Amino acid sequence: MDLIEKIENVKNKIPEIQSANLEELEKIRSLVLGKKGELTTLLRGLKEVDEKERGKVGSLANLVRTEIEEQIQVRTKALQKEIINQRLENEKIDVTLPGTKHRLGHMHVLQQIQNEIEDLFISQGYRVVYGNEIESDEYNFERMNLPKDHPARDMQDTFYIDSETLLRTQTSAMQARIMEKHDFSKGPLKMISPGLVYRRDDDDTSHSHQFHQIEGLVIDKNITLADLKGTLQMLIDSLFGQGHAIRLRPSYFPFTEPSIEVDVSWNKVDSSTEDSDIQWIEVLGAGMVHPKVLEMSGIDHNEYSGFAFGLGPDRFAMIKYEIDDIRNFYLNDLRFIEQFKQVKK
Amino acid sequence: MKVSTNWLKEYIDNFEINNLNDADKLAAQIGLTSSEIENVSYLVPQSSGLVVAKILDVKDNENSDHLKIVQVNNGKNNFQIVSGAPNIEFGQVVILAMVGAKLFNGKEIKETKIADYISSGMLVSLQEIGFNDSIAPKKHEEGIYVFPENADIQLGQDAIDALGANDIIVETSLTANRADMLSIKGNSYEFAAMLDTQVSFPKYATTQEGKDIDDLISVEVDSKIVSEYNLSIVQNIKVKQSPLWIQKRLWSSGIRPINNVVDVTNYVMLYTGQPLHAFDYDKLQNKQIKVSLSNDEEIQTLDGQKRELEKGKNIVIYDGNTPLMLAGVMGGISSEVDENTKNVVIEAAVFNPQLVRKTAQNFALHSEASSRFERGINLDDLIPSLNLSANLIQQLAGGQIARGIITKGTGLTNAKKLEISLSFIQKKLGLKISTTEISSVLNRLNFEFKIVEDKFIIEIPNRRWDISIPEDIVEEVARIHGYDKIPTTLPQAIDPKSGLTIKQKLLRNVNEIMRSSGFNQAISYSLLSKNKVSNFSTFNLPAIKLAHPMSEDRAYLRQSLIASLLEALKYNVSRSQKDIHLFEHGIVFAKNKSQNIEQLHLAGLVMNSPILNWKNNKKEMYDFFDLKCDIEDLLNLFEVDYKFIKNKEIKLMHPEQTANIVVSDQIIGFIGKIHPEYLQENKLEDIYAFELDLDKLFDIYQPKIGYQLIPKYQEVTRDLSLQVAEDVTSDDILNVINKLNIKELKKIELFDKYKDSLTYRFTFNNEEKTMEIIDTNEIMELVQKNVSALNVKIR
Repeated sequence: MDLIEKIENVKNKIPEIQSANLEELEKIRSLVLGKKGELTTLLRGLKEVDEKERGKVGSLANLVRTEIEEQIQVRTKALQKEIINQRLENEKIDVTLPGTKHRLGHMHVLQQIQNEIEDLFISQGYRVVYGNEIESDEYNFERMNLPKDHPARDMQDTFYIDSETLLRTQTSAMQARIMEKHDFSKGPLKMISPGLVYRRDDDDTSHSHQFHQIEGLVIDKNITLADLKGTLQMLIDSLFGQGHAIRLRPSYFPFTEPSIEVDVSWNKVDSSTEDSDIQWIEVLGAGMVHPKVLEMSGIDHNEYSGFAFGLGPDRFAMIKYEIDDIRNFYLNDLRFIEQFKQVKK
Repeated sequence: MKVSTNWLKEYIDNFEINNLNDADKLAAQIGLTSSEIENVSYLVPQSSGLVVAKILDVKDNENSDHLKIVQVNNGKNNFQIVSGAPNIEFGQVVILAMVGAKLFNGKEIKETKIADYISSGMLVSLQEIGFNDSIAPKKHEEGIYVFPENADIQLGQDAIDALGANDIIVETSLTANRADMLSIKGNSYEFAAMLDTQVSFPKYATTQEGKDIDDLISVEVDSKIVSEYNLSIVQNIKVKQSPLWIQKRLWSSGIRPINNVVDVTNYVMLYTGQPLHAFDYDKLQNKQIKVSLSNDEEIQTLDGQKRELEKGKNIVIYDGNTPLMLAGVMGGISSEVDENTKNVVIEAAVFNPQLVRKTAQNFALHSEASSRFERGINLDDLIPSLNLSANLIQQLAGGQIARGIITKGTGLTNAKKLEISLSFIQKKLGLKISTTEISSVLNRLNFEFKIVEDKFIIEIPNRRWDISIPEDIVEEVARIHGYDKIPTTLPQAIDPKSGLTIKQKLLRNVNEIMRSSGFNQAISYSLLSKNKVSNFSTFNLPAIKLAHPMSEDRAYLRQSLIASLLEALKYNVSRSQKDIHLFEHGIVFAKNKSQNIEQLHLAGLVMNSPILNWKNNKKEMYDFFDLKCDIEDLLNLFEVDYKFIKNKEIKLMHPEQTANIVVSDQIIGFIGKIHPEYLQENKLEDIYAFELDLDKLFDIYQPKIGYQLIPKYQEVTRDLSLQVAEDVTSDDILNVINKLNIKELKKIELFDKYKDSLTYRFTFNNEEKTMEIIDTNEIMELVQKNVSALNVKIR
């Protein structure tokens, strides 16, 4: 057999390559193309070939080498693909089985509402103040223009600790504490004060001896009833979404004059809505700060005016989510807490 | 107040309320300008087929000892009725429910045979046609209703109409300031202003022909407790049933007619708002009236109750030294007007509102009178009310009015004057309202005023107690002009301290950390029972008790959050909830001598009942170290060094699985397992709990600004296994190593624990060069040498 024939014969390995496994492929590569491999050995005999033939034999040898290499590569790739496919098959899971890492917890729905209201008013340049839950009669009532024996005290049956100390019945108790400390030369007073309040009420679906309030207070030169109305509309837009109308009704609180109740429309209202189709829900009380309240905190009511409002996050949540029993907020049934993922518009 | 629209029609021009639809519209308008509306309805639910009829004949029934055979006439026809009413008499004008009549409750009247006689209809009481027991006249409590003599009615007339039972009642729910709206006159002014219409009231003339009143009675008052006290006397009267027109007014207002004297005082009170009291002159032993504060004594009020009075607490009307009545609240039985009363004293006074309020509260006797005294009396109508009462009594009961009235008091005050400028109103409202518009509001309210330059000078009528400062006028303008006309603007300036404080931001982050560790936020009750309130407390101080708790369960302010969170946990357990993670931030309380302490705490509870994990079918139980990891995550947020130091002393906590959490040498809380004894008693699975003082933690927190360079050179790790005696803790080992102050040692982590053997992984890094093996070996030798001093073996 001459050299050319021997080189051609190397190609006979190809069928073997095509059925080899990865290990066998490596062996074949070494047997054919390695330093001591068949083809390498054959090429060493090239120098004995006639000079005229040498180029032809050389290029034939290269062709064969290339082909063998290609065949090995193709077979290797096919085998690797097969292995991956096998792995994928082995790693098959039922993606509908439940997740097993621990679950995230949930923020209490009232905390969510409180945070949302805080953020809204912070964006309007308000500060946030948390007061004490034990208050003096003076700050809870007297400084709010509710002297002892005032008939309006009947509206707030109070848990007293002693004759001068009580569990605050309203977050309005924070008004005087903040007003008397505020330095008006540095700018206006704009604050909200969220927190727990307590009343001597029997617990039932709509009453709780403990509930939340958020007090709002703005004092500056030239604060108007229109400012109050605009602020309340902003609050309602934020909590209930755009399109809910508000209306103001006269009311009475000793610490504001004029005093108003605020209703919000349950349904969305536009210029084509008939009055009779609007369902109004009472949501909060508000008013212009009574001059006596300003005066008692050392603020000149001829120069400054202000508004205040007090809203109940419990009531807001009940309206917004149609919750029928206020006790749900304080019994902490996990099936209740876990329903409220995040604030919804 | 229950306001009769029929009554208002007498005084308000163009007041057209003819059906419930009209009334509902009116009510909606009142709600937006004046007062909340409680209810709008007919006085009684409506019936049909009821007519006024006269009894022509009454015969006994031989088959029955109580049934009578009655012939009645309805103006056209005669009917035979069999009736069991005990008060039936010949000549009475009564209510006949004719055959075919439909009563409010669905009952239909049919012709029947009773005791062998045909009965073509039924004679009825007011209750049978829907009148509430509380307003049906006392005289006809048993038996059928009998119209008073000379009533302005016709036989055959619709009885509902004759009784005014189709009167539409608008019930207002008044705020404490609107004293004026506790009277028909006040409501007339208010609604006329709202409707922009006129109002007018009739005038009365009094003729006093009796004896001189000063010869009949004397009065002495303490002006500190009664600013005005007036008496009138009507002599030689005859007490009987009131005429129908007055009865109608009373029951429409929710008051039961009694007799012509009492009814008149109630009628005038409803009309003007001035409470009046009538008492029997002849029952006074001394004819010496004295108004003063109570002594320790007993009084029997008109409701028959005996009331123990305390010295100085109540205003009492005395005759000589005999207490007669609780002034402003309720009359006394000893001087009650009855059917034999011949001479009657009428009282119109202004008692101290605070004292009246206290007395009413003390005896739970909130009467029509007391509620009016508490809110304030219209001085303009004080004497006119007294005169009108005397007039009406004389008119209805005959006799003569004694000459003169007795007047004791500080004297009537003149109407208040308020000055208010246009710009003041505009500035408060944020509305460009005009002088003309404001004038129109004041005119509608019937306020006298004049305009001087840009100022309104307004006379405030005495009926409007609630108006005393310019801001009150601003409110009147806003509500009559309409709150819907106020524009919406926003205050633009910013509070110098706007935004959240650092502590408030930290609290939000704490919430987020707890939430991402799987805890659900609870808000539980602050008030607990005596035996729960101090559980898990770290205070060495007593709990705060309420002066007047509503129940023993809620009498004390919690001293720990765990105590109230356990209530929430038990609530969930009893509802078969598993895998309970709860946290709460809130206030805990304690009493330190005279001081009340409030602290912001954070607490959490985990009860992990065994849950099958579908992956490995193993019951994975939560334990101390799972909770510790959550707390470490939390503490890491504050960039503080912390230690957990075993504490066997916390009551109700497992002595072997509880530790204090120590930050910067301060104990800020604890973590551990709840005592198995408590768990057993309460039938609970294992519970892990922690509670810490957030105020303290927030105070310790010092934010570190800036950052540490990321190491340039490769980190090197080495492991060390130690066999550890029982009395050596992991912290003991780490303390020894940390004391060596090895600069290159960046981190030591417990890497493995098997029985008593602990393996730590040490991480080294040199900031200037790559760590050489030689250096690491040297350090590890040093570590081993020092650790060997403890009761440990190096493996």
